[in-house]
Amino acid sequence: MKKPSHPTHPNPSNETSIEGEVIRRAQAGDPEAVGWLYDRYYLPVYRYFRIRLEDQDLAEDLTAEVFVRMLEHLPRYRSRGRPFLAWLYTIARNLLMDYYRARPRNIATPLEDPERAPSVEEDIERIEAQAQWDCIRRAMQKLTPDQQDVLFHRFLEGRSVEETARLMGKLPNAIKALQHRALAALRRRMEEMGCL
Amino acid sequence: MSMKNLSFEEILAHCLDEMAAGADIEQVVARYPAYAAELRPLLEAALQLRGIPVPPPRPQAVRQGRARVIARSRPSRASGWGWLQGRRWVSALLTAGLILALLFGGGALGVQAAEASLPGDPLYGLKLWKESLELTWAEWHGDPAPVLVRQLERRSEEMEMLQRQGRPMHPAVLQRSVRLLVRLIVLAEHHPDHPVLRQRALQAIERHQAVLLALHDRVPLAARPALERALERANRAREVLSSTVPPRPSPGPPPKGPPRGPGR
Repeated sequence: MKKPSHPTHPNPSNETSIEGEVIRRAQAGDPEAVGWLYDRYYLPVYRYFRIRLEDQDLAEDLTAEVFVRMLEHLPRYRSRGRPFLAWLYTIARNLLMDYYRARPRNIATPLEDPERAPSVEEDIERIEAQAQWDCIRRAMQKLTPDQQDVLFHRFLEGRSVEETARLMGKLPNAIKALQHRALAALRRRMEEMGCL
Repeated sequence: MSMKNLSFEEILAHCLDEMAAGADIEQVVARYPAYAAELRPLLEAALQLRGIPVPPPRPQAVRQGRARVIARSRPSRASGWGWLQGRRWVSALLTAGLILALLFGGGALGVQAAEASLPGDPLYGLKLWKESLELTWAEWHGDPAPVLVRQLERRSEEMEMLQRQGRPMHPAVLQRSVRLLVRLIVLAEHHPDHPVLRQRALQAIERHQAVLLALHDRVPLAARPALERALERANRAREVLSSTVPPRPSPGPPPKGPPRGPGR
């Protein structure tokens, strides 16, 4: 068996029933079940933060904090037909908002200069890729939270319109409209910021 | 589908799906010449997003985060020990003391007696508790697979023993089976090349499945749902392990060591 290509694309039938059981055990405080949820969902939650934050440490800290909050709220969790991951993303989004609110506004995010010359030891391709990644990340930060989310699910996580709709609690047609607006806004921002 | 019936948003969604399936921008745009100028910049932006290499997390941070979360999950189990909550060193000392007592001091008395107990016996809870400790210990060391397989084999032995003695099947043993099987499924998905899983787990699961099937018409009504769940998990575990195990045993070099750390 190959390792699942993506941890967030479970086989709906069996996986959902196993996950439901694990969630019930985690609600009862079973550390094994909590570990299972952590292993399964760490990466998608981490990527949710990492695509938005320059600071790797911060992305890792916030990811762990999502799971701590998950534990706090788990006794009251009810599925109501939405994927568990959607609930984790809601926690992540709230945490991110808290972080943005608490961050002093006069401190600019330190950014790497995309034009800086690579040192002898540095690999030019890596620097260029990093500069491009920084630029796109900053362009994404200018979008609305919903636009950021739809771009994250559709293009960074490679989810289908239907999966994205389930995770965001919207209809597929609304996702199609949202992805159109988000891509158009991203393109504008990328042009303004010279990412293209 | 006629193009004039599609909104631009739907056309864009079609194009993105085609690109996700491997088509390049030019191929996709050529199908909608009237919209090419509008589509191209959006598709380029999507393509750039898809190509972004998101830096992976550091394994140390993943491990530390996991330990932090697991540590927070334990107090809710020990709700009757409120006075100890928040005093981690006390609970750590107590846990270490209990493990040592079980492994060395109490080994000759209660634990050995518990080892031979069967579901429904007074000491069976102690046996399961000791097994949970073993599993947590093994997981902490990074490789719970051998312990999981051994514990599943024990469940099979217990069920056979209960049957031989004509005693009723206790739901606790079935629930324990379900947990072990779920853990094995997850482990097999994360570590398809694990040597223990390849060598022993499938055998243990097949034996367990046979034991469960033999019980099917004999369990009391109260234990029937637990039996059904255990059978369902055993089927699933067998499926996963069967696709993991290579078709022929390799006569080559010995398998590499077990994976360590979180399953990633």
